[in-house]
Amino acid sequence: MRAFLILVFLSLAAGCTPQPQAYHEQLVGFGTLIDVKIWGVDEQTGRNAVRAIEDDFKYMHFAWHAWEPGPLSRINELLPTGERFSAPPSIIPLINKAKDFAHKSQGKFNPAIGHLIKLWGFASDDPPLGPPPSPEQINALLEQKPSMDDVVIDGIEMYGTNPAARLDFGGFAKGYGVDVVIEHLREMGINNAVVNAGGDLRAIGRHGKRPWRIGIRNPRGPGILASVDVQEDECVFTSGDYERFFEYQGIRYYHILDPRTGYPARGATSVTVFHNNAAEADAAATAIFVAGPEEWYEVAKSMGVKSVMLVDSRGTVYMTPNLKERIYFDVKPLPKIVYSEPL
Amino acid sequence: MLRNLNQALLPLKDRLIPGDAIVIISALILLGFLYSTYWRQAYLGNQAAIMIGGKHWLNVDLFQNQWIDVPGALGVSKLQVEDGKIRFVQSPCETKQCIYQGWISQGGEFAACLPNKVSVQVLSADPRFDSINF
Repeated sequence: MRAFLILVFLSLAAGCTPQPQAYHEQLVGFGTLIDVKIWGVDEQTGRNAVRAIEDDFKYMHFAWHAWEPGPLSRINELLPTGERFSAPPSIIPLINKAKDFAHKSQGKFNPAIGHLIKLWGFASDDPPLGPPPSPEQINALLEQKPSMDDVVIDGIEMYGTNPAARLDFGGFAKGYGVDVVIEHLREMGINNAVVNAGGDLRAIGRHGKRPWRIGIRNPRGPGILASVDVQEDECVFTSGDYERFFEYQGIRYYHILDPRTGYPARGATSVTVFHNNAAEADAAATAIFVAGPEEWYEVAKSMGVKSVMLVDSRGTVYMTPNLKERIYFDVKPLPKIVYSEPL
Repeated sequence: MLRNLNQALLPLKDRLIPGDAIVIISALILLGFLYSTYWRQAYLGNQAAIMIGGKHWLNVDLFQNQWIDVPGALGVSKLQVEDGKIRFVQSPCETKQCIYQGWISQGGEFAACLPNKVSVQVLSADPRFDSINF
């Protein structure tokens, strides 16, 4: 009885103990809101860490922006000339990774289609109003077959071999940036954090005694589609057709373009990739979205990712079986779920 | 004195009188009530933080029904608070995705108008979500 009374007292006392809070800040960068949570640090340390990665994001935004003046826009001015020029060191690793991802994606991920993105009006801070470009304009660009092979890096110099190639790293720059800032946080001694750049999320460590809890937005309705507890170092990247789009004469045209057709990729409404590297997860999410429900499995395999969830335009969920025990759906009725073979 | 000492040495169960049992049972009922009211619903938030351009602007009580005009980058986003939840109801943005996100009420749930740089997040002691993949 005495032990029982002590237990009751301790239960009540535990309820009165203030719970430690995660340090939380939001930033604006890469054209989106960046949500940062850090566990296990005092407020001053948290604030200093966020200021440091805010500077990282500002620099990367400047260096990698496709249409604002900066190193990448300078590259895009010089590539069509075919002349050799000095390659900005901040961009070389990005180009090398982009080449690798483009090859692995079997043509579904192509950062050299900057002219096509511009033609559709998505190379702008404001969403385009339409109308969509004409088939003739789109075909004229596709016939020139811009690809990452048209961008050659030779030591500290680079040059273009196809005037139609224009770089736009919108498909994976945020992911690469998230990797950079997570590494910076670790160098500052921070081992428990979540950085979420507009749906491009990487979590390290834990939220105290429990894992970080992540909600995945419902692509075709209000609220949350599913929730997941992330593992100790894991990226959760979602590409969706609701992020940037315009509607013209009742048809929605969104920003994820299929490099093969020149039109917005059809079939998927959102793709979520779970992986241990943010740049790879970002590129894979884009490529798998382009692949759609028919080809997603092959592209995921060639991109080297193991955990994927794709929601198609009818709401059917296609998922790798390793997510079965990890993802909890928050919608009712539950969606139809089709499990693939393991990747 | 000696009688009190003898009583103190008795096992606890022999010292309890019916009144003690009533106190213990009442305490357990109270504990159950407190648990169901405050602990079980810890995921649900009582407040929401409104941010403009990533900077904290205002905390609002989710149980004080009201309409809030938030001055964003493009214009005013109008938010509605009602019975423990909050949502965007008007926005100067083109796509109205913020309105489409609907009500949010669980700790950590997040809605944002990216073009207008206005966001709102539900606060709770033990949030259901630490971050939302959107």
